[in-house]
Amino acid sequence: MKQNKKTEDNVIFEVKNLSKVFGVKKADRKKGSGGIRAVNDVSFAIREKETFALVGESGCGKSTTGRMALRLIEPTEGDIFYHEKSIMQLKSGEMRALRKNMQMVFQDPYSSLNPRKSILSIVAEPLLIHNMVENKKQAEEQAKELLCRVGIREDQFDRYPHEFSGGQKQRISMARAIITKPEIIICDEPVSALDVSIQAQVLNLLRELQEEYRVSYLFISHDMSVVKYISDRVAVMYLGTIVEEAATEDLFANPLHPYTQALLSAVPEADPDIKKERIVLYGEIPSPMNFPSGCPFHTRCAYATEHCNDFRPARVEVKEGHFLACHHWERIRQSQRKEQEESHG
Amino acid sequence: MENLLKVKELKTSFQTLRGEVTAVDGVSFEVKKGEILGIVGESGCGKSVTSQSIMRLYNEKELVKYEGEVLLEGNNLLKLSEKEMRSVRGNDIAMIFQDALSSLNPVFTIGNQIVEAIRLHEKISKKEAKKRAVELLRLTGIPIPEKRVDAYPHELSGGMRQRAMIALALSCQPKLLIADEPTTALDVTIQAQIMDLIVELNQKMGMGIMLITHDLGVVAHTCQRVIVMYLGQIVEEGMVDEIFKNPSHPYTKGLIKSVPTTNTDVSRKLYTIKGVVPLLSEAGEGCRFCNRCEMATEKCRTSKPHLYSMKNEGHRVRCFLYEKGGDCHEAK
Repeated sequence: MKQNKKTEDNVIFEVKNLSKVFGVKKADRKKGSGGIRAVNDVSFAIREKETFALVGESGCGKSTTGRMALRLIEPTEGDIFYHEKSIMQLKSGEMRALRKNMQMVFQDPYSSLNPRKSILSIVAEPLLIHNMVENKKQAEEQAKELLCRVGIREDQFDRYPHEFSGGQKQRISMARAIITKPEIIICDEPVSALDVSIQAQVLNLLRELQEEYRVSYLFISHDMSVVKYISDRVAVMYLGTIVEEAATEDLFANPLHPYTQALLSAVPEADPDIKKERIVLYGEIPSPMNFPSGCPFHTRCAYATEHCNDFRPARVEVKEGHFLACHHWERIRQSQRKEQEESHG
Repeated sequence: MENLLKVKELKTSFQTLRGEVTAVDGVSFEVKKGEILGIVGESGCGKSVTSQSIMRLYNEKELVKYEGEVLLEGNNLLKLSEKEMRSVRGNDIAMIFQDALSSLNPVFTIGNQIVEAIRLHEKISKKEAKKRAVELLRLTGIPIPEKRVDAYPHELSGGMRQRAMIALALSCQPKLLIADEPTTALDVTIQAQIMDLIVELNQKMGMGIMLITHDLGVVAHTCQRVIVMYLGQIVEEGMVDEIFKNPSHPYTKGLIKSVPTTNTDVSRKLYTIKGVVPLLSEAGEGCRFCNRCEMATEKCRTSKPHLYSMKNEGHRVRCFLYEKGGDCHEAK
């Protein structure tokens, strides 16, 4: 399922230098407040039938990025391209028409389904809004088919969202997103509200639908194990910036950024045999209200130098498809190799 | 090791509009001195109700009925009067919760709350109690505790708040600490810090800890023993290594297989347990897992399995597959 590496050219969606600063009113600007820098100069591209994951801890800007991708939140700076055409200048009507190709699945299935509509009309509604069918009956036919596909029983079609469990609601959300046959679905923490046995069911469904509908996912998550399982490429975010981006296998096998290394080492694995040397990060994520100068990670980084305080590291491609924003990655890698050699005698 | 807490056939039933619901049904286990016992299960399995029953936190006049015994060093907590129980809570058994923001009182400073807890159980001056509060905050790794002691809960970050709640729980040096999903609301790097702290305190102070969680990863790396619950019952119990390497109950097996780890083969589908957890009122006469179980037989639908002992000491499984003395003849 992960063999679509040769589709280099089929970039369907791209964001360039996206930034979002919240709460900068004119008055504040005069006072010198910079506002909350939620996303800072983020760029990535998503290819056809690919799962691209954004991971990071709370407050790193991953959800804001996801919402900006659909212009549900307007970016402060930057540009968004869909099939190489900028969508930033589109008017709201044009944008709405485009959204049938770009759908969204939210974390909380309780609040993202209209409680006053039956699930059949919830799933049929996008077809009617986008005039993709001639009448309501046709829309419902298609909705029924799809609901069966995602595993909802036929006798449940007239029920309301509250009558379903979390996992079922997430299946209904998936059906609603995919019924317009979108090219990309933005999944914002789609499984984190679910119990583990249900989480596995929904992850499998996501993959099956990807095969059947050739859809790409922008998969936003904080769970490294889930991301490893579902995605083809991963970007790790910290304090509004992408610090590292690589093919999933490469990233998990050779994390190069000190933050990625710490993040991976902190994941508790459901297998006592996986013994990891835990890298403990001291302190906490700085507030995006007073964005640190230089490298955003320097306040917690064990390898930080004066240089990191003053200069923001540029994004460099350290090997094919592996991007990194760190001044000292070569030095870090050398010292870690040395340590390893020493510990192996 | 000596037993600190012994729970015998605990049964907690709630009066609801739809009749009586038994959320915890005949649960028996021990917590030994100085050990970390994990209780895992999905939402609705009764893990939190079990812990809150030990503390007797539900309204006994109208809502809830307890049966069985909860013995803390031989003393049955279910028989105590409300006043006696109050001196146990916080003093002998302390509890930390998932959401520190809503568990701490927003209108008092952290220091105030710790001082209150100490002075409720011990006769010492305010000044001395405050000194101890600062020490506790330092112990839990809060930087500049002399200053933070006067902070209100909302002024602290999520991780710091959780540390403050742990400090509050430790204020009377409890014999047993119940941690109900203590890191679920935290980020992984902060979760790692807090779990390290809990393990460190366990070693330093030698108290028993009951760690309630849905996260198998957390259990695998912090607990010595683990109990798996499903629909109000214990389905499997054993040492952590045993449970992860040789899970025996079909539910435990499924649960472990369905969680992706970084070692999971990504080219394959994830294993799933079919169906969803049924409502308690829908649980049939037989094994409570039988509708979702791949191995279920006619017997499972009609009669109830007991906890059967397995080869290794302390490993118990509630499944007819192991009825005959634990020698597992079924292929794994």
